[in-house]
Amino acid sequence: MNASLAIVRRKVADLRRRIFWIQAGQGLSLLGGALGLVLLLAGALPWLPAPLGLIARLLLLLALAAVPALFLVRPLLQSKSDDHLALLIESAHPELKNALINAIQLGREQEAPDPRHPFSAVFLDKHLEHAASLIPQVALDRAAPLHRLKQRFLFLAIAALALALAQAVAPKFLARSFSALVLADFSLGAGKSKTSLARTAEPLTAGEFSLRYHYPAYTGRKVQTVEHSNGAITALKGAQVELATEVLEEVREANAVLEPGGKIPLRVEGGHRLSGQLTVMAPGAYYLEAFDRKGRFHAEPRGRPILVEEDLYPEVTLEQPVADLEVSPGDSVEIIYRASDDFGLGAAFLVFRLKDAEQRREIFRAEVPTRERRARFPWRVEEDEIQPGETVAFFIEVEDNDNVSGPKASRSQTLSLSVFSPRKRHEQMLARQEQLLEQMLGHLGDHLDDEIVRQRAWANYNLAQAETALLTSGRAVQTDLEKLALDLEEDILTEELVRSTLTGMARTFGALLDQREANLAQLPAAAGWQLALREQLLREVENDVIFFDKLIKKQRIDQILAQSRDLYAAQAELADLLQRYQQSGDPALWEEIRKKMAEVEAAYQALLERMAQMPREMPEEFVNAEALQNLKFKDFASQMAELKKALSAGDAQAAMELANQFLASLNAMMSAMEEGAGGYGDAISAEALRRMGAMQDELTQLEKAEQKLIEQTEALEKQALKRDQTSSPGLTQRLIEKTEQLEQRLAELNDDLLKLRPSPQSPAAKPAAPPQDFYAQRLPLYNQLHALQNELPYRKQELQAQELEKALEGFRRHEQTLDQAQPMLKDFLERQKPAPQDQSQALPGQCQAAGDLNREIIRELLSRKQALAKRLSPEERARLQALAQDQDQVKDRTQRLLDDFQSLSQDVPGLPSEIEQNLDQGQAYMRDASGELSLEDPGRALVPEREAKQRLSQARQALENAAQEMAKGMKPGLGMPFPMAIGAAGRRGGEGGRRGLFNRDFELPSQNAYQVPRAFRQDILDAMKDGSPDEYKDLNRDYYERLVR
Amino acid sequence: MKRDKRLAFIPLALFLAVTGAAPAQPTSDQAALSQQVSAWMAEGYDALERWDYAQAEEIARKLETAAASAAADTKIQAKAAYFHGRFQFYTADYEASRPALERYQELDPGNVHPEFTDFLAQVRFLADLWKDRLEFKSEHFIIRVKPGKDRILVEPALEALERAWPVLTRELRVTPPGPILVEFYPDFPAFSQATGLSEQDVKTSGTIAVCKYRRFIVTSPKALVQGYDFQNSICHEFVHHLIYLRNGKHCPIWLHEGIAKYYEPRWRGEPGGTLPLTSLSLLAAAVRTDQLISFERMHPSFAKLDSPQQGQLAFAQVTSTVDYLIRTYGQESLFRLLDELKKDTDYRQALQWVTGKPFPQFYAGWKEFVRQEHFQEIPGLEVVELDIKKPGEPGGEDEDQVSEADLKENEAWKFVRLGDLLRDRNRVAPALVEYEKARSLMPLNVRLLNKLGLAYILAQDYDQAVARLDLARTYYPGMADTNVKLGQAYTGKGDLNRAIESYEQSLTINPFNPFVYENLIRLYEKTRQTDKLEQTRKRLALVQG
Repeated sequence: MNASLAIVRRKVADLRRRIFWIQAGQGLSLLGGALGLVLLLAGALPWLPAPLGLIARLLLLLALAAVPALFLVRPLLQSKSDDHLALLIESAHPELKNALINAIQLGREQEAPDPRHPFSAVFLDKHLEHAASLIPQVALDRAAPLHRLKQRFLFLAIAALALALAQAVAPKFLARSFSALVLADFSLGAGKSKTSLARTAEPLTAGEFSLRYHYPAYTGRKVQTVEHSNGAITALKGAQVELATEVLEEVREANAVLEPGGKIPLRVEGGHRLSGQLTVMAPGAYYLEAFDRKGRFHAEPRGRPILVEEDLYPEVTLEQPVADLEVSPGDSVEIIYRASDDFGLGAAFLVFRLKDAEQRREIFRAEVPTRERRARFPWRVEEDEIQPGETVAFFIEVEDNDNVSGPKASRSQTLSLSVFSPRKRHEQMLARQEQLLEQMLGHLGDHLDDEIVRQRAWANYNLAQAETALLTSGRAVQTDLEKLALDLEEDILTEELVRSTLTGMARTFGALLDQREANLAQLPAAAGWQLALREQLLREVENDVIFFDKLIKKQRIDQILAQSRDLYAAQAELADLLQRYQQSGDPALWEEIRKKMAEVEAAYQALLERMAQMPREMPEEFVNAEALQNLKFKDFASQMAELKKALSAGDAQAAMELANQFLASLNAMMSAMEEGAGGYGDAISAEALRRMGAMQDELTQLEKAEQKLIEQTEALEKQALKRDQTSSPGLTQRLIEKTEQLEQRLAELNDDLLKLRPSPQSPAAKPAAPPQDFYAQRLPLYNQLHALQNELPYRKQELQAQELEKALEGFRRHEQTLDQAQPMLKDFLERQKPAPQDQSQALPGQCQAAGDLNREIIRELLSRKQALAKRLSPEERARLQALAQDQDQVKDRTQRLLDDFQSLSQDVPGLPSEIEQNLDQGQAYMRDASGELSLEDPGRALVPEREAKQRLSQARQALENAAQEMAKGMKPGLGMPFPMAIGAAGRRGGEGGRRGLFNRDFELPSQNAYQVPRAFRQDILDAMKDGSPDEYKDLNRDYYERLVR
Repeated sequence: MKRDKRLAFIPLALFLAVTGAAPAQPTSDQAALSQQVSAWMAEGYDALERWDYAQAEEIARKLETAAASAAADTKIQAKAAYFHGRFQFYTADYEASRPALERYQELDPGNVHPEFTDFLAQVRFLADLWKDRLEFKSEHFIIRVKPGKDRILVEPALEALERAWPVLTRELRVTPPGPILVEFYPDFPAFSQATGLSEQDVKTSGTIAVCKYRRFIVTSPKALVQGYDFQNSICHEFVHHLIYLRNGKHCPIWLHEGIAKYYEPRWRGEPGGTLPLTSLSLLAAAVRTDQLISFERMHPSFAKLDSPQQGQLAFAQVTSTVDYLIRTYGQESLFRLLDELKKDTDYRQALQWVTGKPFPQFYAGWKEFVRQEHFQEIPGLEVVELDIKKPGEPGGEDEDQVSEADLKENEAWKFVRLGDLLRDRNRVAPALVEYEKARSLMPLNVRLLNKLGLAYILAQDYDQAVARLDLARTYYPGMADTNVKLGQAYTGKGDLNRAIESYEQSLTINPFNPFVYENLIRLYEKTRQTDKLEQTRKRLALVQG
């Protein structure tokens, strides 16, 4: 930079600094003076009336803030350019003739030349030098004089002096002024300033108070007096407190000042005794203030606390019920609750949420103060219009009796109450049926998927692994079927058919799975059999799925019908109410009509919703789609809207007409629906009935044909026997005699068996064996032998009647019985070692002898039969061959019937399986009979012939029963018109029992069964020994015969 | 057709029944006028029967003049009104017919019989139905439709008819005097009301269009679940129209139908007498087992046969007979036969005159002709009944369910239902197993083949899908559904041209399916067939309403 220019600029900078300090001094002096003045003025603030005092105070504070802003900060922040300062100097030194300002400006030109103003550098230098030469002449005090600073100092001094004087006069003037100006509240409260003054005073009282508490009435508390208190108050909200105290100085007026707000005047007695009353509403404090006789104000510096005692919330517990519950419509729920409160209960309510709205029922209202209560309340759900199928959440709410702050409420735990609805349960069960159908379809799909895999990759296919997976899912299906069938028993709206169908499905399913599981161990050798079993199950699942699908859809339709009946019933009741209203004009009916209308709407809505849920793939047979289409639900909606409108308008006549119109439409709808829905079930049933009827006819014909065969075979046998009888008359008699011997031996054996007693020594070997074991083990043995003994008279009769084949069959059974009785007897004797020992040791020999005799009779009978066969004439032999052919024809017809039945069973799985079993067994017996006839043995042919007829008869009977059940189910509109399954009763034959012993269908007594009175047991034994009455003998015989075959 | 000769006598019989019983005590002027009126009316009815509507109109005017004369009593006025109403009904001006008939009812209430009431109800129904009609004219035809979706039928119908016009008028040597009206009835109840045919009649005979009163009364394809080949059907009716113009009522029903069926495919340039495989199979079986339907049993109408199988067999027989006649005795023989029949001759005699052989010999010759053709008897082939849509029932591609009747009829349907249940649960592979089980029991059931096609499409096995669906199309060409699925399968295969062809084919049977148009638009875009694109978009807009 040019040296001359630097000189000039340095001068200018000196001036800037000077001006800054002058301005700072001025500002600070002014601020100090102003502060002093404000404090002086603030001393008067406490004497000013409240609003004026506040305004004055605000003005003073404003002034105090404005002075430094305007006179200190603002001037100091103002920037002063070199040009401005140069001009200031120029104005103080006109002799410079603008040399300074020009130097400043030209200096800038020299540093940053502007081509628009070309200056000669020489000229510039010259001018700057000239200006610099003038600088020494410049006196800065002329450009920035100090006289203003002096004035401000003077102002400051005066203010400080005045303040000092005031402080001298009133020693705490400064503090008070400051407090009044800054510390005091900015409220308009009168006497605030006084308060602040009073706080500086000494306590007014000696510090001893007498407090008398009057509690709110609801608490039931008595008046309570507290003497010698320090004045601290502790009370319930709403309590009134009478306070009394003595003051040290004589006062003429006193108050209790509440903090945070409020003032209670106190009564002054004798200048020293103060008393008053306050109501405790909130926690806080209070202090006393007073004016003495001289008018001086006194106020206590610290407040005495006011504490509010807490009124606790009541408590309530639900003692009963303790968990969510379900009730039947019309039931009453006993609710037991326990409630308590520290001061008293006000009321108790049962609160529940119904249709998105909270309902409250008052169940208790305290008439007298009650702190604790345990009560029962019978809740009749019908009264609260909780409909079947609805679930409400409920609890007990209790309120206390606090009438000061308002009652405080508490709630018990929340439980839910469901009103049992058969329809809802049915709906749930239907949903489960649908789930199960899905599961079965999944299972079917899994099987088929696996078949695809198996056929595509046989080499890598692991049958055992695949089977295990399929069996697992199959078991799950079976379990769910069983579980659902069981649960359906609780669903009164589910037809028995559904339940029995599921049970039947589960049973068949389970049996097939059992077989597959059993064969798993034989893999891979038995892979072919495993696959055959799988195929069998697959067919079963396919049939079940088809039928189950139908069953579910039919049930859905039945649901719709039930709901349409609801709607019809509600509408009919509405029409009836309207008619009654028209006749009586009773306004009470109007409310009932409105309610019924709401019911009609709800029923209509429910029906529409139900129809919307109907599966899309509902077969045509289920619903008459055309008829439904013609129903025009839109018309229903508009009819109902009109009806509602008429009701709202109070037009009973129009409403009546519309209701009847609506009823007629509904009637048409229901007819259409029932026609469509009923048609389906009827069609199935009618078709099934027709097929069953045809089967019954065929069975009757087959029975007749078999009977004819029996008669013809019997005739042939009798002819042969007649010839035999003539040739060897003593043979029969000998056999009868041997039978009597056998009877005798068995009688002795049984008598000896009964004479045995438990040995007292025997427990040495098995000390723990109780005596009842002896009897328990002996009884079945005795039963078998005794029954056998009772059978022998029949054998004699048969021999007498020349029914050799029958007799032979009988003796063969006896042989089996005796063969099995021997090891049982041996086992019994070894285990029990009964007394008397010699008698017991003889028993096996006796039994063996009986067996031998029985075998001898059989041998003789066989030899006689052989001899008999040789006596048949050629014609008789030819006749027997013809009968064999006839028998084959009957067998073939039976087989065809069996095929038909199996086909029918696929369509109607609920049919009893005993029909199939009987037909199957029947045709097996026919095959045997045909074989015997071909071998020209009429006697042997008769047994299977009779069996075959018996099976046909049983099959026919079962079929008739099934048809009757089905016909019962065909009542229109009463649900599924399907056949009723007979259930497991027919499946008992062929299951359980040990062959050869007469224990099929006997209930063998258990060990416990023995523990009946001895006399009773003896009666039974005696009765067994006596045998059956004559009139029952034929029946018994028939019974035993059928049992053993 | 499907034309019922008995119907031709109904108007006259009706009128005579209505007016004949009326007691009258005329003056001499009135008596003369009445006599004249009766004569005019007899002439008028004859003209109507002959479809000579110009003469009938002239008579109607005369009757009106007579009715307006001073001598006319109410009976004469009533007669004039009645004839006028009937004439307008014949000309399909139902709105003009209705007031005339109502006037008759007012003038002569004593003679209102149930037949008249029914007729008036029919006219009222038709007047209401067609009051907002749309009519589209071409050179020789007028198509009448209800506003709405049926508008889609107009272009293809006119195209087919105008293509048929030169071919059939030339080959049958008849030219209709004026434009022919074609009425497309929107649903089956309307068609039934217009024709008097029941649903069973339609199912048995396959009658979905009728040529009557010099116009075609046609069911819209949207009234049937699967639609039908309506272009072929209206051309079939056109043949009936020409035969009637040529022979009036002097042509037995079997020959009428035989000629119509024979010439039906000519508009497409296909040879006459072409029959579907199902018909040929039925015919071969019937000839072999000698279970043919006699021509007498075909009277008075094919609709009165016992079953759809019989209906189809009857059509096959008569078509084949005409084919035999033409191929054995030449084209001229047919016209000679028609000419001979004009003389009111018995058809047996006429045939003998034309062929020189007694009828039994001619018939035996025809049977031998059929045997020589070696038509294949295809086991498992089924006759597809027309499935009339129920109210609210969707048509076309919607899945048909297995009914209880199906289940009773054949065990195979059990597997089909299982297949449906599995497929609906997205178990396509197992579903296919079930469907194939069913197919082993009924190999050529069209519903099953279509279900199989769909399942294979879902399984993305397009080759198998095409195989099954092609089989269905070969034996049952009239199924829109099959063609739509074939379109899907070919699209899946990437054979876009065949996909387009299949979709286009489906539209000739059911032109109401928006899905097909949408797919076609996509395919036209892909194959850059811009010329068809715009037209298809317009048609889609029509279908979507």
